[in-house]
Amino acid sequence: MLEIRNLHVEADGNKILNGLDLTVKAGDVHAIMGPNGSGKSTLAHVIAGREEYEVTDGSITFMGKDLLEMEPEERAHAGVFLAFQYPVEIPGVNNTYFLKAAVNSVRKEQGLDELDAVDFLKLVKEKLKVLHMEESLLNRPVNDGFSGGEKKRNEIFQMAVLEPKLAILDETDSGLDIDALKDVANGVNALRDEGRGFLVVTHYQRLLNYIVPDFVHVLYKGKIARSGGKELALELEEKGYSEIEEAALSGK
Amino acid sequence: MNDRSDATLTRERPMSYDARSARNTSTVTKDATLSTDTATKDWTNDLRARHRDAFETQGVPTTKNEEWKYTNVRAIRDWEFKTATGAVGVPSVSPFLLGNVGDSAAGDADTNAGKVARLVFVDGQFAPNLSDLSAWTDNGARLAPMSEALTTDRDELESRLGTLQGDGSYPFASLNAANFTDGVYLHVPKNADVETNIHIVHTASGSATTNNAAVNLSCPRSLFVIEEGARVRIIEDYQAHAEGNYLVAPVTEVFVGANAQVEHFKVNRDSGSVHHIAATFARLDRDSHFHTNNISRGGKLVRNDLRVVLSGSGCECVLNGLNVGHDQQLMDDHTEIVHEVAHCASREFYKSILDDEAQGVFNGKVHVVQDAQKTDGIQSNNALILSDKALMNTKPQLEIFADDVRCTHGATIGQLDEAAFFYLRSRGIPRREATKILVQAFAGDVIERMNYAPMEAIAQEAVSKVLS
Repeated sequence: MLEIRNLHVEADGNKILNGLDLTVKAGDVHAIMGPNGSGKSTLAHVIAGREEYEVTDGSITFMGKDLLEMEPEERAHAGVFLAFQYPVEIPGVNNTYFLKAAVNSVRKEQGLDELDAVDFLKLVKEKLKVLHMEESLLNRPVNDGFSGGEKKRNEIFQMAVLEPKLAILDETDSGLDIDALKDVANGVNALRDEGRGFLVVTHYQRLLNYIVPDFVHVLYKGKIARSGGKELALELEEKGYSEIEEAALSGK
Repeated sequence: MNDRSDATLTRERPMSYDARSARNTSTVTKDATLSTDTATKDWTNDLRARHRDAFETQGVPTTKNEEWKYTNVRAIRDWEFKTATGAVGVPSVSPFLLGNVGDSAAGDADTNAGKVARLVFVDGQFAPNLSDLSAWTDNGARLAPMSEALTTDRDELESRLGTLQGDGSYPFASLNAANFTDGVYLHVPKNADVETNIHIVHTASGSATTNNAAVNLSCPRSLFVIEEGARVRIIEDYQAHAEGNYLVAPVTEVFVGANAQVEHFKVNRDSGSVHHIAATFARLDRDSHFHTNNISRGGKLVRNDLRVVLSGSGCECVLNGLNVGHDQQLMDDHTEIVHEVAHCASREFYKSILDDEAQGVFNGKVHVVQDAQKTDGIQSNNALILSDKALMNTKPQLEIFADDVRCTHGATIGQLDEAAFFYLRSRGIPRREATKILVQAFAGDVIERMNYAPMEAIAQEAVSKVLS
């Protein structure tokens, strides 16, 4: 589904990713861990199409298409979704209006009929329940004045409504209390199926107790330094990243 | 400053006044005051002469004048004026009636507009055949074209006309005072609740095209006297769709009596060849409310001077403004709120959306005299710049001489929020629609404040045209 080959990325002249390789197959959940500044969020944003990052080498192929040639909205239409680490507040734009515009843009590109108000409302009300979100959130401006937990729930709620093929969660768990974390994990687990891939970027192993990954990768200085199964996350939780750092420094 | 040589109004070095413009304007003055009614001519003569002198002494302002620093009207000095006659072609106003916005659901919007009495002016002259006063129920109120009222309501006019305008510090208002022939006179008596909305339409005949050398000058002059406890809604709607060069220099004076409520709207949706330089003056007595809502989206140059004097305690004024500029349009708002007494509130919310090479100017004076304790004033001006060549100049100007007041002001000039833009696109919303959503979000609150459906629709339409 997603193939990243030898990806090199710079921002403001700083090299952030240095030859990253990663393959995500449909149905798999990959966790990306790593210390601060290792390039986790950059990877998430580059896949979503953020323009501030310059890809200097390498390729990203998504379902056979060259992702790097696509606009952010085209990537969304193809099924890429990024849950933001810092969801953006947009005062003056109603949450429902925003989401309906998003859903119908995607449907239109996929050759489906646009949803009318009634069908749309039915869809969103179903999804709200899964995330234990108040219906009143629908009538508020996008993320404006939301608490940290509400913002992250809103990201997962959008994901649930848009039903992407590849969902990237950029530190969605950071700063969440345990109840919100469980809701977020439930939202993700409800979407897990054969046809869908997940890239879960996290700083903490705790999330992976609730979203159990198939693969865990450790990102260090812009490259995958180590890969393994879910047990790797537990090992990292215990030992930290020092072993990986030492290994990288010794040129292993 | 942005010095563009290709702009229609070039910013050349300011020059002092020369005699040419005085000659031109005095020609206009002579023509425009050719009234057959000698009695009328007599009592207005003093007013006209005073302002003709004021205008001729100052001339067309240069950018050396602080009030005209960012709005260069130098070109006007070289114009040959003629007073537009309205003789060539009768414009159709029907597609542009209140609430009838473009092609969208005219029926619904008209219902929302409520009862409407419509006075139409062509090239500044009252056009009875285009007007519709059938919905007017007077409640003892008087609504008449100024040309008629000058004779029939002379006493009231003589005691009021020009008194809020004051001296000659508004050059184009002086030009108006020297030359006006028509406009609207409204008098609403004590405690009258006027249910009919008054829609004043100013349009143009297109007669300018018959003589390209001359610029059509029209000087609509209106006086609204709203007595104690009365309520009224007035819409001044400038919509000259004709080709040709026009200078429209309207002046409106509004007297708001004690405990009265006036909802005032001023819309500019002129075609792109019109210079519109307007002045509105209002004076509020105690416990009264004056809400004025200003939408500008048309014209080549739109300048609005708005002066509101809070002269009785407990009164409140609300000034809302939305400017949407394209191409090389220039939109300039100069507002002044004078708190003369204690316990008054003023609210001012102006927003500008500027695309292409459009320019905006906002100058917001709030003057609080020493005795005006407990003044509560809020002013904000926000501009959204959509292109590299658009330009906004904003200047809040608070002059506070009282020591127990709350006066806040804020001004922002910014571009579309890149983070929000990416967020919308990452959800599948295309670039163009994402921009639209963000522009609408920017304008949304000021549009809501206007609180009258047909005007909100006009404002929405202006905003939605930004990117089309």
